[in-house]
Amino acid sequence: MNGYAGNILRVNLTNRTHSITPLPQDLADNFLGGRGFVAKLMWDEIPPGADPFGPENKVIISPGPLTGVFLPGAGKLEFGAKSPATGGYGDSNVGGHISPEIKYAGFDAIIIEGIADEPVYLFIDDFNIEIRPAAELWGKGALESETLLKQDLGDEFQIATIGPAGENKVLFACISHDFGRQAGRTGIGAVMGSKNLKAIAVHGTKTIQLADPVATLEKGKEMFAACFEKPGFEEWTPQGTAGVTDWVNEIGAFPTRNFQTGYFPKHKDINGEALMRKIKVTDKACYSCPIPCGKYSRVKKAEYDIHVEGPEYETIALIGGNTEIDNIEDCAYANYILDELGLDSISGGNVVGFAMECFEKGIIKSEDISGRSLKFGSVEDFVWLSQEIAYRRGIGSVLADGVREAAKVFGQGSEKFAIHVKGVEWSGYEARYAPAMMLSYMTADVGAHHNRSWAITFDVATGRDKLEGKAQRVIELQHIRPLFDMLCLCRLQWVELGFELDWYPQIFKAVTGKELTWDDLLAFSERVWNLTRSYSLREIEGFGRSFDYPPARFMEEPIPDGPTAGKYMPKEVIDRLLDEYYKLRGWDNNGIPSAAQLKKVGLGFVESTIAPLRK
Amino acid sequence: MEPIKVSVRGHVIKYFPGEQERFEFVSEGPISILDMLKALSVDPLLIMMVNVNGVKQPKTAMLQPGDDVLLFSPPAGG
Repeated sequence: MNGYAGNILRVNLTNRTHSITPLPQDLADNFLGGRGFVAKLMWDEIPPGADPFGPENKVIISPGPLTGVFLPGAGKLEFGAKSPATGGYGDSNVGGHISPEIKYAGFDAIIIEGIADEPVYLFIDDFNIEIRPAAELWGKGALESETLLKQDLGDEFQIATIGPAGENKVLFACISHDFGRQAGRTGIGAVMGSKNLKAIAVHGTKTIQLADPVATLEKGKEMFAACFEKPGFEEWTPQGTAGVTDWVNEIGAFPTRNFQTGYFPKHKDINGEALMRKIKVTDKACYSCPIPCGKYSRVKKAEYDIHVEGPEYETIALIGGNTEIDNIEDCAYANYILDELGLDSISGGNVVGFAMECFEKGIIKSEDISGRSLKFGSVEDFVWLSQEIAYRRGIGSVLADGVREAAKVFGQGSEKFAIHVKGVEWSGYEARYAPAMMLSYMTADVGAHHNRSWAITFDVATGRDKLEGKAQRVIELQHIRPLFDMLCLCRLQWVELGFELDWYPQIFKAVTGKELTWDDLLAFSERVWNLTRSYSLREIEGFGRSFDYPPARFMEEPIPDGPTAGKYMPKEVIDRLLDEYYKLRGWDNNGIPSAAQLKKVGLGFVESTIAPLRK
Repeated sequence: MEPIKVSVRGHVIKYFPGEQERFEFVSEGPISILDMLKALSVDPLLIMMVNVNGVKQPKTAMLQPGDDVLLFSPPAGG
């Protein structure tokens, strides 16, 4: 099968068996790969009502049909599982180098099921598959574990690990790879931990069959050349995503003090220039990427001496602005602590910021935290609380379940400023004056995450007071961006350098031999979007419209200061956005796909499950 | 009057007239970057950074005929 390795690896940790079976043609034909495989395999294989931490939940890992090919950014890997954070669909992707390695080992998907009776790691060397003991790694940090496994196995092995947070089933535990890349969202690291699976180590030596090797090489060369020729390369690369920090403040959308406001006065002390000037050592790229967005940094102070990849923009926003840590060195230190503990830095910054606001308001009292304080701006408090969370100690055990669940415990109005959608904390854009971005967060299938639709420049360009056209654009982006996660290509070459979208069906044809238009490819993405919605409808009781609302803060509290002072998004505006969005999607007023819509996108097989949910 | 040479970098190109990466802007005299963007019907907030003749400048900087202007899009963070 051109473009594919041709096999699925299934590992059962309970009985320590594995099997290798051919990749079904219809799976490739209908769901492409990556996120598409994850969604379809989750629907088919994880029993309805499965406990996210039970043996029946599965960690599904999939590279895509373009992974490992000579193309810029062809190194993304998709992880999926029933999310312990949302209770529904969960996925997250990572760059680095492990995705091509899995494909070179011969696999288009790895399905991990069951629960090991002791800590283990999964060893994959082509078709030599072993479940190896990992007791010596258990309890160690994610970065340290990767180092130890590399020392043991050799640098040719690519490693994905969890840290103590994953072992302790923190609901925003991530999977770490390549010393600082994370599949961060939806808590799949906790699912690995629940299976006693500390790590995955992969080495592969096989080749990928291409439909037209000459055309693939020529198109690949053209795309690589474009990376260097496209305007923007030299300016974008030195700072990576951190370069956007000032701009997000300029438009009043920078998360600050647990999203109390959208402007951080000290943003120039944590921006891309500060990173370059003070802590950056070198650039760091993923597999086959000529535009390295990763920045490898070192901070040496009396209190600590650390190396870390980052901080990138999201981490700067959620650690820097959201907890008001006002210097790039301490942001990097907090970033390092979260990476080693195996905590998603987006959710981590949210949860700590939420706790700091609870402390500020007297909801968390000093006596609740051993007489200490929990203040915005304190890196010591940030680090202390992160460790309490990762090891589920004291109040950390409550916060380890994320802001939605913690607010249920704390009460006293804290629900209003628990900044999440569907149980997943909000990433780096305050959206009270950005309707398309707000709708993007509200309707993202994995909770409040920006990578499904990054629409904030569209808001600025088309008017932030206007609602017309916003839902349509969000839907377009929700098909374009997740398509990259199905092909398992990095989207930054398109977003940052302006790659022509028509190039992607051309390279897809050269690799797979399948002649599809860009619109054909988007139709696959729309299919998967409806499938992930259906999955959450199946798994979460009462799931629907009420799960698509933002936190009350954004609907009720005007932004107090900065460029967007006075702005908020009343519920009637939110409802207008949702109404239009559902209508354009072919979903009913409760956000449930119609039978006709399911049939149109090729999901007739889910209709019998979804039909009883419609009223 | 020698035109100002404008290059737009990144994804906001689609919001410029004709969606062109490079074009020339004719001004009768000195004009601020902000006013040039307004004349092009582009919200200045869409531009993250400006270089004029290779030097970073604020959007309030004045442009002279013949200047080379680079306008940068904000990167999609994270």
